[in-house]
Amino acid sequence: MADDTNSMDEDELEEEEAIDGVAHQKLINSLFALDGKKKKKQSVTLRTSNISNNLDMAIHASRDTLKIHPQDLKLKQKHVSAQLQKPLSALEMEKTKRKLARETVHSEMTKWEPVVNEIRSATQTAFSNRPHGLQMFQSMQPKSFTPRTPLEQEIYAALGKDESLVKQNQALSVAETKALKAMSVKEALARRAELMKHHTLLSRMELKAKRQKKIKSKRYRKVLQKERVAAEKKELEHLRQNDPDAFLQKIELMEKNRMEERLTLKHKGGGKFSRLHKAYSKFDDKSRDAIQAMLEKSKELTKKLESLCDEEEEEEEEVNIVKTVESTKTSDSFIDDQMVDSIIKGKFGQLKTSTNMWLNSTNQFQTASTSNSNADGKNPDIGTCHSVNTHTSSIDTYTDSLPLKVTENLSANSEQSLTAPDKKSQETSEKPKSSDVNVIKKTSVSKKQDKKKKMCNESNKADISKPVVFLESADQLTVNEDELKVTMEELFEDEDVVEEFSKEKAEMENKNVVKHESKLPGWGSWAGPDYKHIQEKRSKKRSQAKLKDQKVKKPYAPYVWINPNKDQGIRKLLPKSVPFPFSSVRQYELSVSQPVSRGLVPETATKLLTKPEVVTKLGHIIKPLNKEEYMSRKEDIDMEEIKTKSTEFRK
Amino acid sequence: MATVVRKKDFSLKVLSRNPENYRRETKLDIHKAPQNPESYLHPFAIEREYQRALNATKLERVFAKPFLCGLEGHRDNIECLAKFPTRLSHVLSAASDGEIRLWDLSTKKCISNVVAHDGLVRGMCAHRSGNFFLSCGQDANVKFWACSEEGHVTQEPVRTILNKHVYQSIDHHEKDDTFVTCGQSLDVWAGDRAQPYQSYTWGLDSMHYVKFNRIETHLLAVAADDRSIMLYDIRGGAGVQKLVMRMKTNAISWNPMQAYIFTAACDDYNLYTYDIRNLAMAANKHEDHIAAVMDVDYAPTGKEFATAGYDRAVRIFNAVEGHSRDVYTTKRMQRVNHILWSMDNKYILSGSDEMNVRLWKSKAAEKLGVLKPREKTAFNTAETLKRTFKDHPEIKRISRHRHLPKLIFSQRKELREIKEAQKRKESNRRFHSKPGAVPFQPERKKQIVELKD
Repeated sequence: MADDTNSMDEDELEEEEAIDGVAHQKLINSLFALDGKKKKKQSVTLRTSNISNNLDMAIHASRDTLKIHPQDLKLKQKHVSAQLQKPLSALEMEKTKRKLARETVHSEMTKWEPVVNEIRSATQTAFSNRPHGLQMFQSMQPKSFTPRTPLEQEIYAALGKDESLVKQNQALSVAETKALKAMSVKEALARRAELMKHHTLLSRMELKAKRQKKIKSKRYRKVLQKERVAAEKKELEHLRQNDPDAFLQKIELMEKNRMEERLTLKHKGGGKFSRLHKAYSKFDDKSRDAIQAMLEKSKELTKKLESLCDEEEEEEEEVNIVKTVESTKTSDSFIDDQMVDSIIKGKFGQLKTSTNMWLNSTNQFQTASTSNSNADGKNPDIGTCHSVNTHTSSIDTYTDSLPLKVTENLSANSEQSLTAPDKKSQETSEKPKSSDVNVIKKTSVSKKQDKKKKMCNESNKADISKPVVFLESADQLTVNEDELKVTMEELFEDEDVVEEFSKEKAEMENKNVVKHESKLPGWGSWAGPDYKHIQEKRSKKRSQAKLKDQKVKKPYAPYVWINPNKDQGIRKLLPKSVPFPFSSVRQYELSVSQPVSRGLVPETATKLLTKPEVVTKLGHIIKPLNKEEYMSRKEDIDMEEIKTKSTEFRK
Repeated sequence: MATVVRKKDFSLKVLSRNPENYRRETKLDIHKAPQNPESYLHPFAIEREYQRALNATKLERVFAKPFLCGLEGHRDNIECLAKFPTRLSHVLSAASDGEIRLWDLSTKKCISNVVAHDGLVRGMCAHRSGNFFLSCGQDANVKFWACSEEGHVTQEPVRTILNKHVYQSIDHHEKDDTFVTCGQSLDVWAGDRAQPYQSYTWGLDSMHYVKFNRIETHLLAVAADDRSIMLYDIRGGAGVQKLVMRMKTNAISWNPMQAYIFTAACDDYNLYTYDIRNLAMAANKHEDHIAAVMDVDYAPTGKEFATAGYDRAVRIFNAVEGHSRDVYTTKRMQRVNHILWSMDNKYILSGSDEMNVRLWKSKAAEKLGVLKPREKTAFNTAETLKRTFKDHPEIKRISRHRHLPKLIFSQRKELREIKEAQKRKESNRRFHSKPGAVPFQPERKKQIVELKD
């Protein structure tokens, strides 16, 4: 475009010069010759523009460079029409009018699109233009204050110009109108939302810091400590190389700290102080010595502890023997247990929890049994006491070999087993005796099936039999872990549980199987007034589909039976397909999963979640949208925008 | 053992609470019930809410009694109904014997009646000020009537315009002192002039329904006897567009909140919602009536509209949905010709052949009158629950269930079968002919014959 205009300017110049004389033409031609492109253009423009007036000159001008074409000489006839154009026919006129109207209507209506979209997508629309709260009318407004005394006048002169004062006959003060102009409600809301977001972020950080401060995990603290120590080390190294004075000061400070630390008795092992000193010991002989001394001390201590443990182990074995032999005195066993506890604490750190559980259970049992014995006078629980003690002994002896899990199981199971016969003993005094005997016998490896059956007949058969099995296995296994796992057949050897299950399973499966129709076609489908052709067809289709399903389904594991009809009742109440606006089941489930009722969510949340879609006021006329309200405002904004832009350009 | 020893100084520990925490101050207070909204304490929250939603839908059906009263007094068919833009309780109705009545809805009584025209009253509309109303009748007159604040109509018209031919419909401009009449031609009247200042014709057929756009107030939609809907802009000298459909349009209603949307009640049992920027295809098709739809009126919220059917039923549609959300019928109501939705979005009025104007609630189960805050929250919660669980089959079934007159029930079934058969036939034809020979045509385009520019 720019080039074109340039060339046009040049054309005009050229014209004038051509009139002046041919001499200039040469010069201009030579100028044009500098640029090949322009030359050609020149000739064209000459042809069109100058042909009528000074054709000769034009030809002369182009003689040097171009040949004269025949069309150069053709004169274009000027299109001069003396007549006025014929007016359009009425039909055509109307058509054009309509077209115009259509276009304007279209453009005007498209302006409404954002408004309509907003209305359609709004979650809540409130239809009330009625002003909220009180409204002051003119007659009720107080008279404006007029200063009289000089002091008042002075004050008024100082403050009266304040923008926040409301003047008479004006609803809003200057400051308020300014504020309104400066920010629309939408903007204000957006700003507020932003501030809120910032605030929540801050508070979240605060909370995080608080939470981190409260963490009690030793591991976490250790990691933190490590990081801190590493950083300090680095700093120290840095100081040593760059700033010896500061380094010395730091060392002094450390020494002071060390002394303070030393005054307290927290200096063994993993204290902050000792760890720091390990770092400093590279540079400080004294501290190195101190640490050495400390280490020796600790070694000594550990040595002593080992010897103690050995002694205690010996004791423990003795205790076990005592237990298995007699241990009728509960108090004795209690003391023994305590000792065992202490030993275990000393040696088997990792097994501590499980055995403790176990021990606790025995404690409970003992208290219970004593109370029982007090109440009954007889002593039906002695047997069980025996068994308990045997249990403990077995555990103690095999704790080395058994994995942690097994011992835990044991303790839990034994707890159950203990409580169960205990209850029984309260009811009848005879039965538990047999069971007790049972338990004892099982500890010795021999198996007598009839007695076992008795056991199983009792209500808590699983509870009781399990620990027994475990104990047996423990007896046998001592070393091999794999043999601990007992198959179902072994567990319920006498009962044929597996077979029973498979029988039941087959029965259930047969119930659910849809029978293939063996009737001949037409049989049973009677004609008549009540004959329903379509329904029958449907049911047939359904049954066939079911059959297909059965064929497709793969049989699952032989010891599992999943009831296919379990959720039938609920399934009836659930939607069969994903409803319209949702695209996936998960999405739909999420939409349903948010409770809204009072009591299930906080009160404010209920209010927010149950906002009605449409809010109308009683007895309030809802008027159609007012065009001026929407359009004029927008135009004003547009105008303001244009103004601001133009001012920016000027700057 | 330890417990046994301690048995002597045995002490019983009892919970003790401050009675203020659970006792209400007065008898009329709510019982204080401690609530903990932690979600883990309410493992069955969804199930409970489902049950609540189910109960709410059941209760809704129990309380769905939309019919409020019949306004009796006319001695002939109801010919038209009109509402005032500034008054809620006053409604106008006109009958075939030329009588106009003004009703007070709060007392459900006729305040005043005038014999306005010789013969049928064809059209009626209120003046924008609310102090006048206009009527046009079979006697080819257009008359202005004044009515007081209390609803008393002067026995003599304020002004009468005599015309050569009959006007079939009349409507007043939303803001200006302009009104429009249609019949042989579409005439726009302004101020006190005795002659229309603008007159439009497009084709030879007469026009029977005209309505002003309520937002872009210079726009007009007209229904003509040649099965067409025409758009006019009264600022210009000619029409804007003309849409010819397969069947006649009986009435048109503009959406009061969406400037470019209107809905047309059509003789082919359906309603069509159009976006005037694209008349080549309807924006929506609303079906459910089993006879011609005679009238349609938008709710002032623009979210719903009510329709009057020749099948003796009033239906209410959500503006964006294809099927009605509710249907109102009574045993004695005959063909419904006119419908109005009140300006406060609460009531619907229907005028039918058997000389009655009926007043309905716009929401069948809504409780009328002032609600207590607790009632309000309860209703809001119930509404939300119903909305969230609306797709569950049981709730859907209950909320959709309506007891319909036998005629409507069987007729609808029949129509459904007809439609299915047609579809089947079309698909069969498509299957057995050259690909592309039987094109797919969207349901919203089928009714359109021609779009004239």
